[in-house]
Amino acid sequence: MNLYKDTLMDHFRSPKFKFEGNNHNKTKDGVNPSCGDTITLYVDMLENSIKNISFTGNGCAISMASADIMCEVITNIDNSLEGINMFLDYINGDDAIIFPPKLEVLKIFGELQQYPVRRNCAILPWKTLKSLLTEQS
Amino acid sequence: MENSIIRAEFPLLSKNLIYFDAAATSLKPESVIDKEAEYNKALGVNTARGTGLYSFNITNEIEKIRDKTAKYIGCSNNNQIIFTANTTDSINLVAQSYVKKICSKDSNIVISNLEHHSNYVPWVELCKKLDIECRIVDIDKINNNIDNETVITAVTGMSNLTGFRPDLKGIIRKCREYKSKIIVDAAQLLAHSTIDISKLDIDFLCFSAHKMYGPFGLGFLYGKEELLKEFIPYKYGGNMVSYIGKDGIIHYKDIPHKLESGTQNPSAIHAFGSTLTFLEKYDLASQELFILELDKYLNEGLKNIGDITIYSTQGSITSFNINGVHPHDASGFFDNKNIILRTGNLCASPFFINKEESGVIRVSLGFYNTKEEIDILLETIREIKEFFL
Repeated sequence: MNLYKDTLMDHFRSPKFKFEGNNHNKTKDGVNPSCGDTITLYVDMLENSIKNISFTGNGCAISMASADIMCEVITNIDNSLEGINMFLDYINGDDAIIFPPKLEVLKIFGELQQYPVRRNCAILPWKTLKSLLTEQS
Repeated sequence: MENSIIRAEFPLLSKNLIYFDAAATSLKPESVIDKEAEYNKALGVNTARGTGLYSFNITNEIEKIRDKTAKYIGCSNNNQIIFTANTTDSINLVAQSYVKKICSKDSNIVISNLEHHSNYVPWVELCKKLDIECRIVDIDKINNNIDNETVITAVTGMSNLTGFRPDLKGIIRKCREYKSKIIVDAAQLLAHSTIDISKLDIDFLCFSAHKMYGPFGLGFLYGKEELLKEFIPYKYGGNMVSYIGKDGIIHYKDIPHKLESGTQNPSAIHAFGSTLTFLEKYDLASQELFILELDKYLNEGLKNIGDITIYSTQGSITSFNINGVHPHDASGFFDNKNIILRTGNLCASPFFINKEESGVIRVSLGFYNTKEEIDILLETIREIKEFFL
């Protein structure tokens, strides 16, 4: 199935960031009520920048891979919130989005534009992080 | 009866799809679909209003269907059937109009952990509001938790998650011993089987038309007459009023209309008349053996594939997980084969509390399903396993 690109499956099977952080100063829980997927983010914030981030949770391959990829690309970038919004717009069908090089990997989720029922799976970690960041400001 | 004859009754099956989601809603036969459309095309008037012949005739018809519905579940008195919007609405009616007023501070309500949210949330919220104990217990331990202070025991007639049918007679016996009332959520039971209320001492029985080959937007509450007469309506408005005196005092109609405030759903009730005819034609009880045979075939197939956790006892509902595969990852593969089934917590979250898994894959069978369809399902499961494991 096209949805499950090799990169996505690699992140699902061998996540690098799926662990409870021990140097975090912020945490945030997220849940997808329609399917029961859950996520907890452990974020080490320095001013407005994400220095380190990890997650724990229970969910499908798409949501867990999305969380792992998010943790990989969202740290130490100029504007995390802008990156999150770009991803959310892209998933919801905005093909005109031009990702900066570090975020280009997110295009592996492009197939989700054709699978609206699975969009929320990929969105959960991003929505949770957005919620954490907007609560900060 | 030939399966092809039954299948021809359902327009949706003429499309290239496999329907394994009877527990969510049953397919609708053409006769029922046409009957509902007929109401709006050829009849169209509201019921219980006006003195015109159209209104008079349709009001009579609605009452005849109430009578047929009562007889279908073995009840001889049509006043004991209240039309509602759905099973949830029926359960809320019992909770708010009856149970709420018979509770005292020491009361408790017993519910099983196998309940659909419809027979769970109304009771949890009522207990919260009245600050009384809500006993959410394993279905096997329900009898041990009923005591002198239990005002009502809420139990499913058939679990929408596992297909399990509790021993209703045993639970009713226990309720009678302690004077607890019993409410049975029969939404699934009547989708797959029949019930004879005259042989069971049930206080309240709730079910929905759309799960038993009928239209959406119509539910039913059966209740013992003496109990229904004690109900204090919790929704007020039109349709239920007998007259308002010059002194301003509102006089309500007797049951069942007293509990049916506002405009009902006449097109759905009209169509439900055809549903009952359909159910009589195919005799749902006699189809159970065929469905059990299909279910056995499915369960054997799942066991042969291996690495499958099955949560169901044998029945028309089989819930399972492919070990190591999240049910939602599996769902896309079923979609691609036009297999309609359900994945997730199935609105039965209490079952998953303290469990590692957060959902299941559910196959719920109807008597239109075939072994060939099950073969396609099993082949898809093999493909999913191969892809993910």
